[in-house]
Amino acid sequence: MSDAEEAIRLWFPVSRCEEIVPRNVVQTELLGQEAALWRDDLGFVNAWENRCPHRGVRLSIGLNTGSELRCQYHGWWYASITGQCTYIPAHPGQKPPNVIKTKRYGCAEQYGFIWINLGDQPDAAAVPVLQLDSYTTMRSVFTQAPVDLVAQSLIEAHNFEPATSAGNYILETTGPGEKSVLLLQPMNAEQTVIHGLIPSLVRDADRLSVLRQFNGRVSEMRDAIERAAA
Amino acid sequence: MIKLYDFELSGNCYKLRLLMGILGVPFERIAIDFYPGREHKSPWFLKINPLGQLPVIDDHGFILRDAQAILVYLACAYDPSGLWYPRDDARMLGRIAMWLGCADSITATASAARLHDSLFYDFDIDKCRAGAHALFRVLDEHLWFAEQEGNDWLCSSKHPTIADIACFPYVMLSEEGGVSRLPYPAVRRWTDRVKRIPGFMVMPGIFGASPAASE
Amino acid sequence: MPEGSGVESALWDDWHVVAEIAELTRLGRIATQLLGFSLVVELDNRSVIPSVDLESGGVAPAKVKYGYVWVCLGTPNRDIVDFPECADRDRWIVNAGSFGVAVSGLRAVENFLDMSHLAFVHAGYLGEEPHTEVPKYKVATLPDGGIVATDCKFYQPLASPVATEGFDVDYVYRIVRPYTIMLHKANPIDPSRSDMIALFVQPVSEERCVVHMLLAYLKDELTEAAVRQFAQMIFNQDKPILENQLPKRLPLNPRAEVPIRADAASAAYRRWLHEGDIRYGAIPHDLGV
Repeated sequence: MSDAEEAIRLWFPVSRCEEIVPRNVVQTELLGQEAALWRDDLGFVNAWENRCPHRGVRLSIGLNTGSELRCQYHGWWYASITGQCTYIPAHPGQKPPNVIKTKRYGCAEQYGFIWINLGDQPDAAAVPVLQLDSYTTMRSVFTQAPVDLVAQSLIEAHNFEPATSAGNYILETTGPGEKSVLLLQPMNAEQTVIHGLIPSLVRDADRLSVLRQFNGRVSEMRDAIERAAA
Repeated sequence: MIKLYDFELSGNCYKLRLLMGILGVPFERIAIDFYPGREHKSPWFLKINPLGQLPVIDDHGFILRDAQAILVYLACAYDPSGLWYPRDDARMLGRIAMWLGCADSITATASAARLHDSLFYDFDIDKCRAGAHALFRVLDEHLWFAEQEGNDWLCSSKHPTIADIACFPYVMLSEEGGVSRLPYPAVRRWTDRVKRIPGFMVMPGIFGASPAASE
Repeated sequence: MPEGSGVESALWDDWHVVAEIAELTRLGRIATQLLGFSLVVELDNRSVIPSVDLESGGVAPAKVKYGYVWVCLGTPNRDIVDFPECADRDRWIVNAGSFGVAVSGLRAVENFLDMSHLAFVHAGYLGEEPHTEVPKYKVATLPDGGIVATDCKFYQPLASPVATEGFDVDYVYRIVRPYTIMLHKANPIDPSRSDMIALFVQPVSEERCVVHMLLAYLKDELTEAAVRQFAQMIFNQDKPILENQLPKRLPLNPRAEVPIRADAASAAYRRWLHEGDIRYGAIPHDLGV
């Protein structure tokens, strides 16, 4: 099995949970596939292929009404959870055929992140297990470099090592002291998101300075990686 | 009534329509055939603005050019709340001036990329796009930490300012110049918040937002 | 098919708009692309000279008509599309500008043909909620090839710059070439006559186009500038929709993007492209699901 085929079967973090805010639609990309992420007013997070089944318009430019997502082009409604089309304004008196529904991706919330899986049979039990009693998520950093290069550089130049048996997508700092964990989201052949967490709770008084320090360190690594990739 | 020398597709004209709409200031639009007619370079218009640029306002004979300058004027003259441009707060004024400068940089990069792709201006497109991405990266980091501090807006305040209005249009129109906003989630959340300011209006290329959840 | 071009004759040996003559007059020289080939048009002593970066070394034939410069990269197999309205003295004939769009030109043509987006993308002008229903209309093939949609009716709050109130507007759409579509729309003041809008779409590449708009509007109470501004505003409302379509090329397999009854015209258009073996800017049947 090729790396690409293998990767399709894996779960990847694509956003911090708290950044999937109400009445908003998040556009993301994983392994070259775009996804639209949105939270309904009851808290359920949907992860759908980022195109309307009707004419292919990105759902991420659509409207999150709290219970459905409305496509910006023809105003079609897609229900939360099922992705079923529930209303077609051009034919307001007719019930939309059952076959009209969005393509849904496997979606789970774990360790403060939304994880998605592009495979046909996503198994939420297969979300990578991290040995964490508590955690604090950090700012995600977009990087203009392919995931292999990002991982290689973090391991060889920045003292990270694989944190799980799941390969180089989840890394942690080597050596003693407080660990940092980085989780890589391969967007496409050129771009990677570096998500981060520390395995402890941070006191409110320290939170901003911890977030800023972590972001500063990851941004420096990002800049070095981008220089190497350019 | 204020006269606005206007072009429908200009983000810099739109930001003035947006602020006047939010403040409830009536205005008259004088449409300039910017494209393809280049009326902003015509002799009659050069007498109004020798730089040959839009927008320009004429407020009962007081003529002012430059989108950011006009935002300052409109907020000072027509916003009784003083919140859009807090004239007595030195730090806020400093921050606003900084972001108004950033708005001009966004125009020089993201808007230039759009003019290249859409209207065939002869610009270095790679340089325009790289410049826009560099600015959006700074903007995204700034807005992310603002959210962490409990602030929704550019200038660390509880209320939006003219800085938000100044930066919003060409951020929203960036994809017409091939500058994706996918890598800037905090920017995307901020643009949704701008769209929910009471009195918000759209322009071609910018869609509205769904209503906010009732509190 | 000409050797090496890889583009089907129906497009290669036909005329395409590549520039507006007023713009060429101002600039003297315009560099653009057509069907993936770089092209330069120059104005020399009021005659238009195109030169194309073809291996055949070529100077392609060019013509000026309806205010636009037309170029054929191959051997012209038919004349430029005829628009009789453009001879009417009581009409403004307006070049409303040319806009680059990052999508296949076939997507742009299909969008122009689409009624059910009007209440959303052009809300307040060409439609508005709750008047979203698209009544049944007729679709037929044209004798010379192409698609015609008739009996199209749609409620529009501000159908044209002279409209003062909403009314049900009658539309007739004609797709006369793969990349050319025209619309006849009942005039708000004299419903017995119609205003005409033609879209000449220049296929720059398979995933990028330039949309050139030609309008022939009855003059009453209108200025040329008002016609142009209205057309530009409406088209630029469509632009972000077009640039957010995935994939950028138009899939011709009906199973790739699910159609409904209101899409009868677009379904016929895709079928006609498929039957005519138009592939440039399209995703053919066998690749399309």
